[in-house]
Amino acid sequence: MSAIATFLLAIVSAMLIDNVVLSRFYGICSFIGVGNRVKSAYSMGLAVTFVIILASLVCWPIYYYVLVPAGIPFMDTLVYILVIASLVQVVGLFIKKKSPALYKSLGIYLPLITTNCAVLGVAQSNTDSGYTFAQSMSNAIGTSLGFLLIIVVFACIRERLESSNTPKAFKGVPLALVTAALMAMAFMGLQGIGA
Amino acid sequence: MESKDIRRSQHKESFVSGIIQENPLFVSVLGTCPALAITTTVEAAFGMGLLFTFVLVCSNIIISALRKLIPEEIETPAYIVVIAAFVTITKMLTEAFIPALYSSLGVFLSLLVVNCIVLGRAEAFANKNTVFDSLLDGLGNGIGYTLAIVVIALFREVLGAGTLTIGAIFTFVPKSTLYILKDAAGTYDYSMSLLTNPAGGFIVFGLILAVIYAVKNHKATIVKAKARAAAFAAAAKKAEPVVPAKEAVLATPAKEVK
Amino acid sequence: MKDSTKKYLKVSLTLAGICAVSALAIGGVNLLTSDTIKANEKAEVDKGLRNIYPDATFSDTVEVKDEKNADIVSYWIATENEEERGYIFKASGSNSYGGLTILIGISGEATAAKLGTIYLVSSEQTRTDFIDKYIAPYNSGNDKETAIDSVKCGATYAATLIQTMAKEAKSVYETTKGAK
Repeated sequence: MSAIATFLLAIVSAMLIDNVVLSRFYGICSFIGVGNRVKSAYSMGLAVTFVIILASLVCWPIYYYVLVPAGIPFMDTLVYILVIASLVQVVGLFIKKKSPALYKSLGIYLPLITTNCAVLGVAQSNTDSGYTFAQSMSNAIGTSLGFLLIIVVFACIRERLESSNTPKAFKGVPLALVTAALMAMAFMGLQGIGA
Repeated sequence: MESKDIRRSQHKESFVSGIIQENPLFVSVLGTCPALAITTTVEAAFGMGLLFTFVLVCSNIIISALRKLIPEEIETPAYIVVIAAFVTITKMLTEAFIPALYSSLGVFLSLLVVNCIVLGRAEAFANKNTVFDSLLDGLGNGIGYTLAIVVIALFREVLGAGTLTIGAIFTFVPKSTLYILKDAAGTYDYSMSLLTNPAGGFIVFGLILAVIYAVKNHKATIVKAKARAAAFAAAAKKAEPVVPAKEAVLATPAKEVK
Repeated sequence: MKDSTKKYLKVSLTLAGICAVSALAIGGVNLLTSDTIKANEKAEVDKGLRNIYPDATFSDTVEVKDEKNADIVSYWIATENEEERGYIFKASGSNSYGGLTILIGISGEATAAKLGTIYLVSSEQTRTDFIDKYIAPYNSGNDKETAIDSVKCGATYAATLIQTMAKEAKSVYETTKGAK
């Protein structure tokens, strides 16, 4: 298969088949806490997408061109999390300048992106699994698009569920989890046939 | 003498509250990523809980010891650096001494750095309290988290795989399998394999939370009903000497509402 | 101005100090544990070698650098009772679900290479529990010569990757054995 086709296929598989939230369990805390307003879910998803792609873009070269030649590959987690924290600050300042309305609507979610498992998870698994640069970028793009897709769909569903009659014990987080379970089962159908 | 008793009860409270009343997973719903990903086997969940407790206790101790030295502006990056250092140390120690646990936890060991519980306890508790209190708090939260994920893993492994295996990861225990819903020879198999899938993790966690919320709601209803009964009884008592008829009117609606 | 620069200096120095101490601590633990980690890796690979050819002695590792068969990292020659039993290839590849390292045993003539057993060394795949199911057809097939191509793979997870690596191992075996 040509390189472009492999790249696109990797993006689709990271986005739908091996979905970052429903199959790999990376961004669950923010996923449950995103609430039920679609607009804020969308803006948070976009911000996370931006940060994931930037973080992978920066962390892979740092690992292979700085840490490994210096003989300190074990410092990767520390370096990655510092890079991600500073990236989130920079992205925050950028958004504040470019569109203060978006900054206000993101509110508390922006510093929370630092503790989003998906960002560090993607950066770490890129180097743990020994990906090439193209593979790590397709992993990052697929992951972030998958996260955005799931967040928006989930917010839509929760918005509908708010006005419906659910058992009292299930209100809030348990309902979100059961909804996520049904979504995960739907996505399981995309996994193809094992042996 | 008295202050020592007060302090001892304070210590006990900060320790016990982390286990049940403020269980980080079931009450505050934090740190859910490993709770869904690692809980396919009880052993892996227990190992994860142990390592989590280690990281939490160590980072709490160091952050509490340094709490007067760290200026407020760089609080969060400084805490992150300390936590990342401990997580890397834990990773290396696990890779060296319990390699089976390291390979089954995968990238989630590194994700302890951004675990909401570790950062949360550091910012909410460790930077305001003494070292000993922070140690107890870390220990309590760690034990609570371990209990919580072991419970989830118990449901997922017993109902999902049908067996309970010990000794696959902690190799000093001889490997033994308890066949519960499945037969060793394969004659019957009542396990629900959905529960070992990712979707099953969501279901088990959601149902356990729903049960906990139902119990809490039930308790809250009982407390509310008792409070209302007490309020009506007090009002009835106060109105007694004034007008007996009014008391009858007050009393009957209470009975109807109940 | 001077006061604020002093404050910035103090803040940056504190942060740099904490980073430095953490880095030293990590480096120290690394010195303590790196030997144990290397020994563990070697023991895991040795266990795999013994699993494929139980009573054989193995030659030293031979590195392989082949652009066409890029996943094959190295191989060992297994000898038993002065007779060559076969080659064991270590293949390390990755797809979009993670990395995978397996040992592939191949024996026979250069023109009629037979697949022996496949052993999983380590995997960073998202669904590692599927890997055993994907390896099973190779280890239980009766006609090992055509086993590699006849195994059905889904398009997802590691089945295709394992099949590709087995084919690459077979082709490297044919070239190396044929050159001797």
